[in-house]
Amino acid sequence: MKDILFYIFASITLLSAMYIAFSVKSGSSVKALPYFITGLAGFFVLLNFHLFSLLSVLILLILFSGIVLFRNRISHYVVEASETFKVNIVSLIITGILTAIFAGLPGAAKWPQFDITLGANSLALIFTKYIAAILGIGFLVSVIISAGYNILKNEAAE
Amino acid sequence: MTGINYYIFISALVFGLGLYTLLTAKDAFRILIAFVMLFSASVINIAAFSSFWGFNPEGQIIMFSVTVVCLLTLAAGIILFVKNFRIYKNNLIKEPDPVE
Repeated sequence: MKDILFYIFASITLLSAMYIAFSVKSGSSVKALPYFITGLAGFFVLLNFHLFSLLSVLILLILFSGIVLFRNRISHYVVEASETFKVNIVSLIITGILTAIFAGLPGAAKWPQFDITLGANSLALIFTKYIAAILGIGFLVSVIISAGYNILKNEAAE
Repeated sequence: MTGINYYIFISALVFGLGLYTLLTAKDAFRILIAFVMLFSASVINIAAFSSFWGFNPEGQIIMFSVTVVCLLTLAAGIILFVKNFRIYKNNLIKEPDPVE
């Protein structure tokens, strides 16, 4: 049963990913994205990551409702390129080879044990070990807040 | 029984398709979708390794961090994309003008 479910979710994910990659119009890519996330949520259920599956389903619901509610606005923002896309076979093969090499690296590393302590007094650890991640997330949040404020201010001025 | 190889294969294919989408993108929407695909490939890999090499909290923590970074990147990208659209009235990726 689990195998059949795996093949179903794998086919959904891969078909939607191929549709996203090779579709001519960008609007079609946006429409195929919810199906891609459906396959992803299925994988998480099969791997016992139920919380992340729930999170994916929530993102899926938000995405679906956003596409349905703001379809006119989205179609306004999607400006198609005038020239058509041409599939370059050489670049596709090189990309595939590089991907296969990079995907094999974690398998060769055999998933080393991470040195994360989950103790209550690990506040100092957050500011020493994960300072780069905290700075990155803080930078992203600041970009989002400042850009959102700027857009809202411009809208109010209009 | 599906082993870890199946998940790595799917992840590699998704990563390859995402990279191809990113390299051939002509507009900003497609770049955002390509980023989602690349992050999804990494998340599938992390989930598979964490599940098959003993189900421990480290995998959940790393997956949560990756998901948060993915969503924040997506939000930042959408905001910058809307801002760019309001200034230039399109979202196409153009080659830079030659320096005179």
